[in-house]
Amino acid sequence: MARRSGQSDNEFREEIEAHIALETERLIADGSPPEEAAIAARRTFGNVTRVRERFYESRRLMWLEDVWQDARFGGRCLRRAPGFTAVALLTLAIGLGANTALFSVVNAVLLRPLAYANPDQLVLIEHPPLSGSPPWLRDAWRARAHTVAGLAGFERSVPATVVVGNQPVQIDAAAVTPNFFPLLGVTPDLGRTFSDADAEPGAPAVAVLTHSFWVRRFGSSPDAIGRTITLTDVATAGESLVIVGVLRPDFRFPVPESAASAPLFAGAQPDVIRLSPGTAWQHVLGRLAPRITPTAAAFELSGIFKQEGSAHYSTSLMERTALTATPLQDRLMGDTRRRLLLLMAAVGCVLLVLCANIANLLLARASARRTEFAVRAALGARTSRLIRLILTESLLLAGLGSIAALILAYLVNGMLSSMLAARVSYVEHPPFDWSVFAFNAALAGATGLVGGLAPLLAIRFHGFAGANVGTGRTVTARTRLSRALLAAEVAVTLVLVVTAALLSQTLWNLSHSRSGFVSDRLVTAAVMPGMSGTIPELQNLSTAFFDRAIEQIRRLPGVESVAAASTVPFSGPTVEMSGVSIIGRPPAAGGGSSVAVAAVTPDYFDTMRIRLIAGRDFGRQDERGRERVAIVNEACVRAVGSDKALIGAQIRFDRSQLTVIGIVEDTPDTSLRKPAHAFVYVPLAQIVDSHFVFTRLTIVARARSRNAAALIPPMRDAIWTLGHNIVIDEVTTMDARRAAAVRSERDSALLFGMLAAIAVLVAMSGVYAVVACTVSQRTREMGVRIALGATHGQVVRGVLGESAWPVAIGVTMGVAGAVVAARALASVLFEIQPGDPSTYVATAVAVSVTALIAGWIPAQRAALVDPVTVLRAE
Amino acid sequence: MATPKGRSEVLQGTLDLMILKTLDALGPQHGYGVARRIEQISDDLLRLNEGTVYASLLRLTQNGWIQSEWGASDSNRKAKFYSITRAGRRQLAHETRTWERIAGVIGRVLRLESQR
Repeated sequence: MARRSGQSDNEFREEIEAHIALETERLIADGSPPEEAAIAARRTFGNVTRVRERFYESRRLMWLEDVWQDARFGGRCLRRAPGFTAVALLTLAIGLGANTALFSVVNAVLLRPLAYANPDQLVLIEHPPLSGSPPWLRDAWRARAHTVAGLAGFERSVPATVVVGNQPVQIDAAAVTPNFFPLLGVTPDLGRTFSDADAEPGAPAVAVLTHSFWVRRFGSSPDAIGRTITLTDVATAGESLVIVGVLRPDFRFPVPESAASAPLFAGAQPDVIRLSPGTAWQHVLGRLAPRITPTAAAFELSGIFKQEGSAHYSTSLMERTALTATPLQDRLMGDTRRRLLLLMAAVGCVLLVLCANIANLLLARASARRTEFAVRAALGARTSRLIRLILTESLLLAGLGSIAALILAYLVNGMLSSMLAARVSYVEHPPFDWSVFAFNAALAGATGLVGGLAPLLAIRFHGFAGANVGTGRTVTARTRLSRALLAAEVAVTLVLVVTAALLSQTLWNLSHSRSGFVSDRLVTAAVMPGMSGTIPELQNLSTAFFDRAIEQIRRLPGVESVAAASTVPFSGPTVEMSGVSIIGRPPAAGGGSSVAVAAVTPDYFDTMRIRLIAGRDFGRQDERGRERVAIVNEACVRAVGSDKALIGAQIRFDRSQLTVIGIVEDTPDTSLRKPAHAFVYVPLAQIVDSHFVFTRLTIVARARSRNAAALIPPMRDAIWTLGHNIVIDEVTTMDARRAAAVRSERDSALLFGMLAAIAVLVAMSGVYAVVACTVSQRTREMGVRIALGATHGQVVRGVLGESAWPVAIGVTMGVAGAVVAARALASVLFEIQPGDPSTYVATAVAVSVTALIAGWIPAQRAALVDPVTVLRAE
Repeated sequence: MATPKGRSEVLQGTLDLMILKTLDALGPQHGYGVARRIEQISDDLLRLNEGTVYASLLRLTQNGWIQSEWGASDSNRKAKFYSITRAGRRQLAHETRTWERIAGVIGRVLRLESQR
């Protein structure tokens, strides 16, 4: 509108000047002297200011101009109080930014539905400590269970090599039963999935590819269907598989969390899925019948298990077995979900602290500006105008803070997604969620509004009369609100700090827990020479290869000792075999099930510095053709239930008969938290006499110098001199593996630590602000006191005493709250109790002392007030 | 500011009318010129506060009855010239009729009173 009329304030002024100039000219022409003419002309014109005002007021967009003016004024005010502005902006940016990023991720991860048909009907059926469901159990379930509409089995992915064309490719391969895909309701993108006909004896072995593998290796070509690939893994040697289908891009293979990928090999989504060769299902997937709850299904299946199982297992084992049916979504997320929720709660706390602080800061500022408001009101400003003034400033602050928060949120989002993608197998890069940001921005805006309005409302109630008086009336509603906010801030901060302390302690405990071997200066490399052939051929070839490889590496300078093993601590999922039993004794309670096997070279325990508890290590005499021997670890001894020394006893282990010659200490498997896995170690040289084939071993070498990583390039070269088809993988130091094993604990501790630090900073700045505000408002009172003889210390103590009260209440409430909140942490902690007293005491003391210091600094200023200056200004 | 609300409304309306007529009769003119002309025509009986003239001019411009552009005055001074638009002419005609009608009615009423 203003544009259309073509008028602007400047133009109008020019016009008026022109008018006055013309009048002046006329008067001069009429004979007046120039200066008089000018004055007369101006006088005739009338009140220029009033005209301009009226002109100004008549323009339609008055209110927009007002708001713009308020905004500029607000901007100047903010610039003039840089401390306040910086603190407020920072708190807004951090709170909004972190919160938005986290919520986006949580939304995407927790709330994303699985890409299966009716995913809430899917459950994972488990019965620890038994792993793997035997055929008789499944038949019984199929025959008698009404609560499940279907059962399918699957095995998680294991590393394998396939030969595509002539290229050996390292992949992850999983196995499923024929009805797996139909049960999930998953249709293929190309070709077909499995059918019962594929499981008939004599039918060709078939496989399906996942979409990404098909794109990578087959170039999205439709003639991948029908091609043959050769697959080799620990239990299979060069099996030919016919590709019958390709899965959709959004298909995710269920990877139950606790059995999942070791930390280094995140989210083992398989590349190739084939039919399950085994009869024992590793994992059981069930689809519930309509309107059946998981608990009901678990109850029925458990009943059937108990009925049938008595014929197969001992009663004590039956008693120890607990059958559960967990919704698939929960089982896939498991631990991560819990951690995410905890994180969400923590960030929510930080947000609370931030809002309280901002409100407090605004309160403090507004009370400092009471005089200004009083003057404005006296000059005729309506209350609505004042409200608009305050609102504009608050919104300006909120707006600036939101922009800063947006930038921060993008960064944090990226960081969080990469952290999360490494741990949760079925999630892709979560997008930035605008709705969350909008919510948070609205929250910040609301806080700003409330914080800004509150003092104005207080002024309305109490009138402006008290504005000019610094009587130091100590307790008003505003002060009480301010103190309550402070107490709340301190309480929430304390909860966060306690949480962070507990998590840090957990991380420390885990990192320093005994691991049964010495990990420094150790380098590991997983080596898979590309070989094919029959099982005996492969056995010979791999044994020969690794012998030569070890020789080569031993000759390198800088290598103290070297060995190879099929599985090392903190490596991928272990190969579980069935039970171990001592020949001549009845099978132990517990069945000795889920014992793992590892093939090692003679120097393995030596290189790893694993302690030999009893018996002897493998040696040169344990070679092919000789008596077949084994070394077991303590966990195996426990699993077998033997209290007598096992040395010399014969054990039956997966179709093999072995003599136990030694017992070694336990070493961690994939995680430092879980009890060690039961292991049976066999010498690599004797593999040829068994039916195991290990084509992938991890070479471990202990370096002489501290810098173990320097050994990696020479090791690689040494191995590659032995052939060109060799795949070398996971080359890293043992320390790195170990660090990766505690990665989620470290991340949690780090995140919570950061959040706690932010909360502490914010809360302490709140304390500082409140005390500073009190001091600045009551300078006259301080002056009087000092003039009347109060000492420095007395004044400081007096000021501090006021803020001490809310801090003390805050700390007490915080401790109580922390005790409650820490219970949620119980499952995540390691070797420390949620109610650990020393942590609480230390935290309470630390927070109190920090608050004291934060308040002491401005209190000092109070004592330095010069009474003469202050009283003179009265 | 001392004028009661009712009177200033009438005054505003009549001022608009006078300005429109002036511009219509005398062609494009700057604000000073318009004010001068009205004073002259009224034989100096109408002492206008120039401020009100400009307020009027602005109102007329916003209603689209006159338009403005910058130009040079006789003494080569930069000034804003106003001219009446076609809509303005229509408005002028309308206002003139209204004014004459009102004036006629008031006149008759006044003559009526004096007869008694």
